[in-house]
Amino acid sequence: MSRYILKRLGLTVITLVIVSFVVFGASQLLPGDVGRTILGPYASQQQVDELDHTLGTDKPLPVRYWNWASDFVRGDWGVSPVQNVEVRPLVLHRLRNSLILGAFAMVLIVPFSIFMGVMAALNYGKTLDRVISITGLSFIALPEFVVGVILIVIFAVQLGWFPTSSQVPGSDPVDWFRQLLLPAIPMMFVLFGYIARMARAGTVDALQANYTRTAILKGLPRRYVVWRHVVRNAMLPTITVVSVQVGYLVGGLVVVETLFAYPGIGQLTLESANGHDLQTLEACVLMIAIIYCVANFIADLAYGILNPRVRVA
Amino acid sequence: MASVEGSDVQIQPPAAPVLDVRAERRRRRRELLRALVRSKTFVVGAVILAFWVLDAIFWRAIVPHDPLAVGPVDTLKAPGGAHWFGTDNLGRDVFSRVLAGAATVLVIAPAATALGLVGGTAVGLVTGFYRGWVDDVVSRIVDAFLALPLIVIAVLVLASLGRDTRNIVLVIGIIFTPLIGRTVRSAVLVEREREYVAAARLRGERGIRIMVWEILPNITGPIMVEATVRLAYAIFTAATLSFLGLGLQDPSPDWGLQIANGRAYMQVAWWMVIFPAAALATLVVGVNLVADGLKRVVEE
Repeated sequence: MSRYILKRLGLTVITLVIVSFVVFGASQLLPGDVGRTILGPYASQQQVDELDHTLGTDKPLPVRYWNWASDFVRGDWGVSPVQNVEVRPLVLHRLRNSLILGAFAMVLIVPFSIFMGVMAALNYGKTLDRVISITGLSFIALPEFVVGVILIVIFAVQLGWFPTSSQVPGSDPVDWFRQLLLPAIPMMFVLFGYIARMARAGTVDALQANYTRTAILKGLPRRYVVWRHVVRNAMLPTITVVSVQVGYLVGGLVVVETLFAYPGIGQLTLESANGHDLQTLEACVLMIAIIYCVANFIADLAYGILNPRVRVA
Repeated sequence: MASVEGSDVQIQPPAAPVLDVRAERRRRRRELLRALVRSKTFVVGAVILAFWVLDAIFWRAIVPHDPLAVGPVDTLKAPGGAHWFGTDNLGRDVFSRVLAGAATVLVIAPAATALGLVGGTAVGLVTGFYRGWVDDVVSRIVDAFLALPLIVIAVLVLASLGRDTRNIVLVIGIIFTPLIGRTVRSAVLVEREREYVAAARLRGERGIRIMVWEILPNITGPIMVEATVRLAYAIFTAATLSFLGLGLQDPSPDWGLQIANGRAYMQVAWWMVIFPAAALATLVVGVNLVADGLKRVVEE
């Protein structure tokens, strides 16, 4: 088990290093000189050179990458030249807001999706199965902003039940639903599609497995077989899918937060991209990658703990 | 099938050889088509997709108004009368703009998918066929790409490269390359163990010839399925990017852009966002139904 954990941890670190190459590389694609961009066209070449030297942007690429990456690891994320604030508190605060929204969507939809997926598999080939599968398929297809604007027009504009733009909720649970439900639904649609599909596939496989037949022939009650033998085994692939969806969720957050003007990391990513605020943009993208990798690592651990074949090996 | 060790003792009639490979291929294609026509999912999806493709080609002939013509006196008119879907904040006819808006997304998404398909097939063939270190390196890069949502990579790259249609096609196509490559690779891994590949090797065929002439024709099924799934995803992504303001700019009638522009007027003119949203929804659901139907038929 400890070898398994170490191997997973190693792969996670390698992935993050490659991501940091991608992020750093993309920011280097930006044409023009950094000092010139900050100082503007009227600064003298000498001033620009001096600023480049102070910022370290005149150094060779590997050196700059190393400085940038080691500063990030040490927690020095720099100051946003556009917003003129420290990047780290800004990004972490926005991340917290996004996690609230993301967790809200996950908590509401994951158990429901798994339940519907299992129900579809238990009714394999019947109407209920077809309805759940086709619904899930259509839900996956719909871009979040399409679902989002339809929800806003119906429930915020016409019926007035929800605000058209969402704030971070206070401690009141009613406020949580008022602020977060509408932006959460578009993401819940997509999550439902993927998770229910996987739970269904896992359950179908487990229902056909030899251990299930043995359990039924042994005379165990059906309900017991379904929940103890079938669903338990069906959860293994489902866990992997849920963790992969954490990555998707952040992408969905960019869209949903923009649509609902919710102050999360997704909105900050887009804002800093539009405002050419590279310092903030890089920190946001790296944070998103870290969240995804940590979620995957936790899922691998859960997989290992639940699956004796991995646990013992 | 007789095992290799036992083949010299057992006397078995040789399997009937397929004399005409082309006729066999034609027969299979006919069977596939027949199965597709029987699939309700596929037919419904194909009808929706065909509608939008025809619309994207012929919209100029059917729009009642010029989708770009502004009407200062007719701004924010509710649906009805001369404007079935109402007018937008500049007095442009929403119905005509919805019909005209299919064209942009139906050019960008297939172009991006084609790019990813060519790159991904090449990557998948090479990594699956040779395996070894090339395979390991590519797998790691795929993992890194998967660690970032497609939208986030696109935002990052488009912010650096500049926002235009060509860059959107490039970004989506390049990100699709490793993803499609992975699917092709797993199909190649199965095929490379088959006898016909061993036979080609014994004949002394070179690696590249085996990949392109022997393996590739045998994995067109999974590649076709992957292509339609990716096409749906490309439409999703391209529309999202234009909604985020990273793609086409006003006055283009692109659906994502129309919805983004209509956001400010949602309180007074719901028709500005609902109709393009509904159009986009039918298109993506249609392509997904096609993909799902195709997948079921090919996997059977």
